[in-house]
Amino acid sequence: MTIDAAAFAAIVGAAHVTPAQAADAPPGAAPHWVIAPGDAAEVAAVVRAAAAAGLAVLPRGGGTRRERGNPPRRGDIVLALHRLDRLLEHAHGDMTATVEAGMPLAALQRQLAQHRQFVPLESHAPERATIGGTLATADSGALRLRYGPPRDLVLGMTVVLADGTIARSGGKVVKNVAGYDLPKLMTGALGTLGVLVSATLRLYPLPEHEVTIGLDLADPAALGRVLPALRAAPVVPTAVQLRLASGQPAALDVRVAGTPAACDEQIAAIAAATASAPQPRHADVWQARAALWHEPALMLKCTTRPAQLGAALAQLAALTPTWRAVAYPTGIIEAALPGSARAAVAPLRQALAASDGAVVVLAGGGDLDAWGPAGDDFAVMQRIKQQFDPHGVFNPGRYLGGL
Amino acid sequence: MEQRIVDAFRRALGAPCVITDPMQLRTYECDGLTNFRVVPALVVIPESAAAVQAAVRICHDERLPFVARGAGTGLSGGALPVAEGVVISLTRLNRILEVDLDNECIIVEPGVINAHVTRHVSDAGYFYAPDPSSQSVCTIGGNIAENAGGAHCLKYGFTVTHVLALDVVLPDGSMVRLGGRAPDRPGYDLAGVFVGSEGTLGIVTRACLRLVKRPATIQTLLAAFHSTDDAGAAVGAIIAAGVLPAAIEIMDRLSIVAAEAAVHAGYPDCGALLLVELDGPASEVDALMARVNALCSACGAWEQRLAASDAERAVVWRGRKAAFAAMGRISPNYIVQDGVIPRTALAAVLREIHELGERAGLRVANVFHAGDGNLHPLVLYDRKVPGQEHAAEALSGEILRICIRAGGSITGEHGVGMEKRAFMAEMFAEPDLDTMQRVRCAFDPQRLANPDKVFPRPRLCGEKTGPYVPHPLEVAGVAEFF
Repeated sequence: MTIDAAAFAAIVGAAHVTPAQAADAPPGAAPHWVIAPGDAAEVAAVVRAAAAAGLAVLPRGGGTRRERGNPPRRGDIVLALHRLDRLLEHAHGDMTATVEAGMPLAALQRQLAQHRQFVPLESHAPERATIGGTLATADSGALRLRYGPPRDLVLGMTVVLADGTIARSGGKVVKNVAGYDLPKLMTGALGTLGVLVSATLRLYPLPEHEVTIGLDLADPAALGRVLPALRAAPVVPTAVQLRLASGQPAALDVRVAGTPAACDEQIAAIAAATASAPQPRHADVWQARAALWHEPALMLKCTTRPAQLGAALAQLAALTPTWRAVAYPTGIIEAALPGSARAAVAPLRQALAASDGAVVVLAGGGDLDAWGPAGDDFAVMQRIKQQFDPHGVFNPGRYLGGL
Repeated sequence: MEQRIVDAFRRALGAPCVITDPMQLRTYECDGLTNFRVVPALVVIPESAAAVQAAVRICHDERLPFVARGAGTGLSGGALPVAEGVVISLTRLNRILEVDLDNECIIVEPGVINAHVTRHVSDAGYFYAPDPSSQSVCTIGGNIAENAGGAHCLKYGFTVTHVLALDVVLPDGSMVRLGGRAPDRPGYDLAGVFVGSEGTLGIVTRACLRLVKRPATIQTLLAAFHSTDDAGAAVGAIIAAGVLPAAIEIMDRLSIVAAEAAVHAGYPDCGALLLVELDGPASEVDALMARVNALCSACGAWEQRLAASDAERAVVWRGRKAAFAAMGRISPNYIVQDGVIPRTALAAVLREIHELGERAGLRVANVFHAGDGNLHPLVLYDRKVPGQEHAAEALSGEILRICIRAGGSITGEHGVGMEKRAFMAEMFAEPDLDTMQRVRCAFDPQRLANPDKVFPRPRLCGEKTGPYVPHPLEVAGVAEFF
C-alpha cells in the first residue's frame, strides 16, 4: 500500500512524519509511518485523512504496553501522542487536573506534587507510560484497593472518533450524571473506540506520613488466614501487595498513611488481627511490579474473586514450575513466566472461570489469544464497536474477540 | 391498547400482574417530579426476572415503548410514562439473593430498598455506601438507573463505584450479564456505562453490589456560621488541608428554619450550618477533627457541636435528609435543583443565585453537598399566585445555566430525565450528544426503552454519519477552552 505521507505532513508538519520502526508498533504489525500530531485538532485531521484513505491507525502513548492485545489485523500508520504532553489545568482547589493524553504519568505526578496532590494511577514504567495509555489499558496496581480502578478517577474525556469527530463527555467536576458516562466505556477499550486526547482526573491529597510494613508468609496456607484477617481489621491501608515466586515464601506488604499516631495505631491493629509481628519494610518493595517486567518471556494478568486469590495462586503454581508474581487483594495477579508456560494458559483460564476470573496475556503470548473467551454480552460490544468505528480504523482485531 | 396485546401480557405474567384499570393506572402517572404527568396505557408488575424478560419481549415484538419504574422517587421525571406505552414496575423483585462477605458483595433484585441493603449486613460490620436522601424508600434498580449519589459520595463514590455486575434485560428481550464479581472482565466496561443510563439501555433484574466495611470511628461535627460565604470558606480550608471527609454539607438559613420546623433536629439558629463527618481509624479521626475544628473557628464558626454517638448522629442527619420535604413547612410549592459547580466557585455562584432570586421576587433555599460542589437550590413559590410557577421554573433554569457557565454540570445525582433534556444541548455540543447516542443505538436501536428521556433529540440509529462538522472546541481552538 502506498501512503500519501505528504498529506499527513501537511497536517502535522514534515518533521512529525517519520518512517516507522518495529519498536513503534505491536508485534505482528508493520506500519509505514509514525505521525505525531501536536494538538487535538491535528489528531482529528490525521484520523479523518487516514479513515478517508482506508488506513488502519495504531494509537500509541509511551509504547510501554505495545504488546497488549492480539496482533492487529492491519496497521498502516502509528498515531503517536507524545507531543500532546501538557498539563492543561491543575485546579488544585477543586482537586482536579485536565491533562493531555501523551503526558507521562511520572511527569504529571511531579507537577501535581507541587500542591501536595497526586492521581492514584499506576504503571510498571511511570516515566514513559502516558495518561492515555494508562487509561486505554486500565492497568492498576497496589493503590486500587483504596482509590478504586482507573475508570473511577476519570471525570471527563475528550476523544477523537474514527470519523474525525471530536467528542467530549463527562465534565470537570467530581460529581456529574449528565448523559452517558462515556469515559467508563473508553477506559480499558485499548483505543478501539476512539483516541483519547485529554482527560480530567480526580486527584487526592498526598499522605503527609506513610509507613510500609510487611509479613513473611512461609506457609502457603497462611495466605488464606492473613488476607481475610487484614480485610476485617479496622484499618484502611493505602496499598497492599503480595510478592511471590516459585519456591520462596510469600511476602505481604502493607502501606498505611495518616498522622504518625494513626499509622502506629493501624500497624498495631494489623498485628492484632493477623496474630503476627509486622516488620518495617523499605519503600522499594513497591517497585516489585516494575521488576517483574524486566524482560519477561510471558506476562499474564490473572483475575479472580478476591476471596479466591489464594486458590488462584495455587492453581498458577501447579501449572508452571518457575514463576514470579505480584498479587493484589482486589483479586488481580500479575505474573512473569517462562515461555514454556504458554501451554498453561488454557487450563488456567478454565480453572479461574469458576470464580468469574480471566487470564489476559500482557506480553509474550505468541500465538495465544490475548483475551480468552468473551461473555454473553459480546454481541453488545460488537454493536458498540460498529457504532463507534464501523470501518475498523482503530487497532483492528487487537481487542477481545477480534474487535 | 389492543386487547390481544393486553391478553399477551396477561398470559405471560399472570392476570394479577397486569394493570389496566384507569384509576389504578393513574398511580403511575408521575414520579417524584410531579409537574410532569402522563397516564400509561398499561402497567405490569412482574414477579421474576423471567417475567421482566417476557414483558420486554412483548414490547419489542409490538414496538411498544416501555418505562421501568422503581419506587417512583426520582426527581427528574425519569420514570414518567409514555402515553401509548407500558410501565414495568420492579417493586416485586425485592429479594436479597446472596450475601458474600468474603468477597464483600451482596446480590439483590432491583426492587430492594436502598436502606435495606445496609440493614441486612450491618450486624456483620458492613454498609452499602450510596445513600440518597430518599434511601428509606428508593430502590436499588432506580439508584442504578440514575447513578444515585448521596451525602457520602465525596469519599465513597457513587452507585457506579459500587456496582460489580448486573443482569440486564436488553430492549430486544435478550438477557445478558455485564461486569463480574472478579475485577476487570476483558472487554468494554458495559456495566460502567449502563449505570446512570436512566433506563434507556435496558432493565436490571439482578445486581451484585460492593459492600464497604464500617469505619472504626465516625464523628459528625455541626458548625454554625454567620453566612454561607464563611461556611464555604471553611470547606475550602478543610479540603486544602488534605482532609477528605466522609461527608461535608452546608445548609443555609432558610433550609435550617424549614428542617427545624419539620423534624426538630436541634440545629443552632445561624446563617449557615456546616456538617462535617469524618470516619476511619480512631486516632486518625481524632487528629483530623481537631484540625477541622481549628479551621472552622478560623473561618468564623461561632459554635461547634460534635455528635459522637450513633443516636446523636442520626438526629443531625435527620434534619439534613428531610430538608427537601421540609420546604413544605415554609412554602406551598418548590422546585428542587441539582446543579454541580467546581467547589471553588461556590461563593460566587451562591451570590449569583441570591441576586437572581431577589430579582425574580422568589426565595431560594440552599442545601448542598459542599465537598463535591453539588448544589440543591430549592426555588420556593406559590402556585396560586399567577405567574409565580412560571417565574420559578425560569429561575430554576437560570440556576442551571450558572452551573454550566461555572464549568459544572446540570445534574450531580438526580439525572436528566424529562426535566433537563433541553439543557443537555447547552452543556454539550451536538457531536458530544451524537456520540453518546451511538451507545444508545448499540443497546436499543428501536428506542423502546424509556424513549424521549435524557437527550434533547433522538439520533436515528441507521443514519449515515453526516458530513464532518467541526466541534465548537476546534473552532474556538481547544487550548482556549480549558
